Amino acid sequence: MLTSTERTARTRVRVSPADTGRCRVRTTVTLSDPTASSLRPVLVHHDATSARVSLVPEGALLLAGDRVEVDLAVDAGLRLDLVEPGGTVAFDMRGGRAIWDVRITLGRGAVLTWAGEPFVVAAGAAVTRSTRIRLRDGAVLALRESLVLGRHGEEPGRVHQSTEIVTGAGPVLVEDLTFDALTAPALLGGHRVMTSVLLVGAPAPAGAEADRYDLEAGGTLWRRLGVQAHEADLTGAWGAVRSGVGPGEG
Amino acid sequence: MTDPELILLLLADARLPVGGHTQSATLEGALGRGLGAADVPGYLRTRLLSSTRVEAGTAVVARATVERRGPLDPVERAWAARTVSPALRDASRVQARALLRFVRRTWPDVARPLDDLARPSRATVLGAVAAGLGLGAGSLARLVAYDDVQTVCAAALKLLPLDPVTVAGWVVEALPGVAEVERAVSWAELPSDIPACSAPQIEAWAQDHAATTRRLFRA
Repeated sequence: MLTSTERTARTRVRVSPADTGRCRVRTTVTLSDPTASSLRPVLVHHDATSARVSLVPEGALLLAGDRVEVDLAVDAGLRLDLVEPGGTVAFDMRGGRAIWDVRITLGRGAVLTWAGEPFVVAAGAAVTRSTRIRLRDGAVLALRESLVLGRHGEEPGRVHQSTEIVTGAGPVLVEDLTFDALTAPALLGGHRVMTSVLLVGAPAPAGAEADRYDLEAGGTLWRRLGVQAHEADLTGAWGAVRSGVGPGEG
Repeated sequence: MTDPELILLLLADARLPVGGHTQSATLEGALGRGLGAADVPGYLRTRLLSSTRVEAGTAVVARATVERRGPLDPVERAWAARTVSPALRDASRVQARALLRFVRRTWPDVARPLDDLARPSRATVLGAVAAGLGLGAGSLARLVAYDDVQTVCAAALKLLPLDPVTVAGWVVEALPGVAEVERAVSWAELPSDIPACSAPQIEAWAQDHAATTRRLFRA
């Protein structure tokens, strides 16, 4: 458990209907103390049914004692496209740890695309990352992630990454992965980069067969391991998935 | 009722006609992708820390579910959501079919809780069988983990020029890991208790292996 030095930054984004011609995008950032670093949601574009938001880091992320919470909700029939201006580095925490918590609720027929940038777990970092996503009927999720264990030429830090994607019909993907300097080489076969693209609620696009795992409960995961980032590249699959769920805006 | 200890011996015996010889626990796929003979003991440890816990946990929860007369479908779904590789899900179900054939013929009542599942996984079938034949959760977890170790090692002897005594030594060295799996999963009761600690590299190897045509083992 974190000590009292914990700094929490909670970012909330909710896309809901409005009769003003544009959907309503409410964003709030709550800090437990003024020194907490956070992800600031910047509205890049929005129209009647969709919004595009960039999650911009404010302050140094991610350090010991940081607790970053991201809470997203997209109401029925609306769409949110999330982008990040750059990757995140979890730095050496010298015995401390940090938490990165994402919770997402997608209403009926809602769409979320999130083009995640690399999350680098530097040597000495200790991070608990959790992602919980609930999809109502007809909702579509397209999520890209890239986990990098250690910066160039250094050992992996420790990361516990838990993922739970659930629809009304039950769990689609449940994963609880712990990587550190000891376990990462075996679990990842000597690789240090794991990139994935997850698509739930829409059929897998044609032509993206490589590195593809068809999930039992519907949904498709593309996953690729590499020693260097370019070896774990899934640009093709992500592009196909993005075109499949429509171009979005911006 | 037959002594559960004898049931345990029976189920752990590779001579049981349930298709164990068709399985390498992804060792064949791993060897094709650069793993060597010296890496096999490490491969055993990795499995016991990851995918085998999912299997053993699923079996234990299936057992608990049958004991309280609950439906097995949520257990099966929980297993499938934790097993991203279609090749691994398929390999498990093919083995389950052979096991179920034996169980249905021998103990028809024991197989009954599985009737609602179209293609149950091997772990779910083993759990239901354990419940029906009085095998405890700890024994069941040990069975699943031990069987995984023996599957890898038996396959290693077919795939690599190894001394059987060396390989039997690897089995013995892996036994503490088998006991750890038991400690880690035998308390589980609900589908959400099933560990979700897969090994992404093993899943990738399993997928690659399923796509190759020249192979000794089905999975």
